[in-house]
Amino acid sequence: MEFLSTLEQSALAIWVAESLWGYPLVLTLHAIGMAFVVGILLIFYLRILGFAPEVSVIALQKMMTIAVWAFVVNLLSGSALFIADASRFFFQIAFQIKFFLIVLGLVLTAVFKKTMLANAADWPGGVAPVNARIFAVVSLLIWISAITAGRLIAYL
Amino acid sequence: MIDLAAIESSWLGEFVRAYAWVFPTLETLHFLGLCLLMGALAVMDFRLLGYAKALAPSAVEKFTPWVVFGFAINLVTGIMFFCADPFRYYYNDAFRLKMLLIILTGLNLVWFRFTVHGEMQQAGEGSSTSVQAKIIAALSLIIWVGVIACGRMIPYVE
Repeated sequence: MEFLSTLEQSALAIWVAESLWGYPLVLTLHAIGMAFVVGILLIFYLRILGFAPEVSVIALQKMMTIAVWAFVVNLLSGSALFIADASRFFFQIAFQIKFFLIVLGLVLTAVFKKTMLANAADWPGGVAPVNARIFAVVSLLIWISAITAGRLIAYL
Repeated sequence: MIDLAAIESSWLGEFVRAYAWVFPTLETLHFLGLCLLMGALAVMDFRLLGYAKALAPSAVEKFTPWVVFGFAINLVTGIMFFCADPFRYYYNDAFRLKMLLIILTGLNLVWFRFTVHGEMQQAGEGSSTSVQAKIIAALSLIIWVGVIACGRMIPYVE
């Protein structure tokens, strides 16, 4: 596909693909970003499931801002990684699944924030209702699957 | 000194090498472990640095078991990686630096335990943290990010 070739021929793509340190550097940024995005999300959802109940859910939400910044880092580094070999990744099942799972994970997080989390102040004793917990389990599984798919990109 | 050949021919090393699915599975678990470790640690360290003051440090300290759990997953998977290919890792500069940095995080943790930990367990919502707490928290984040970077670089310095 033409637009994929155009991406691959951009200066950034060539730098990532051909310089000695371009690829490892971008990959390292991607790993660091992942640690903070998925890490903070995991902890947040674990709190929803009832771990560390002393922690205020509303106050914990402030940590999501850090996760958002880390996501931006991963969006940028991910884009740089993608364009370096766009034709390969675009058609690769592991990449497609990962991308889909991330979009799904983001949508669910946004829905969660707008609906269940909006009432967090009313949760008796700070305990999340069952629907929020189910949401948390599903979200956890999606993000864990996204990491797995991401790892498999290297193998397929 | 350390008998790398014996480690390589151990049953654990043999197992990891025996089936193609083992190594990628261990890698995925290793990534998961690091996310748990960093996520829990980030919440505590950023709070100690003064971010999200509505959180009580004494409350976020309760995420500590998840730091330990994440670390435990990575210790086990890490040992398994090493057993599968000890010569590769033992002589790899990124791996060596990674191990050194992990030792440094341990020292930082000891420092934390003997100083700031007590303060943290008493601190409620809105409380300010000491300069010492901020230094320890910053070091914790910086060194662990270094660990991730070194780990990621292992294949690229060979």
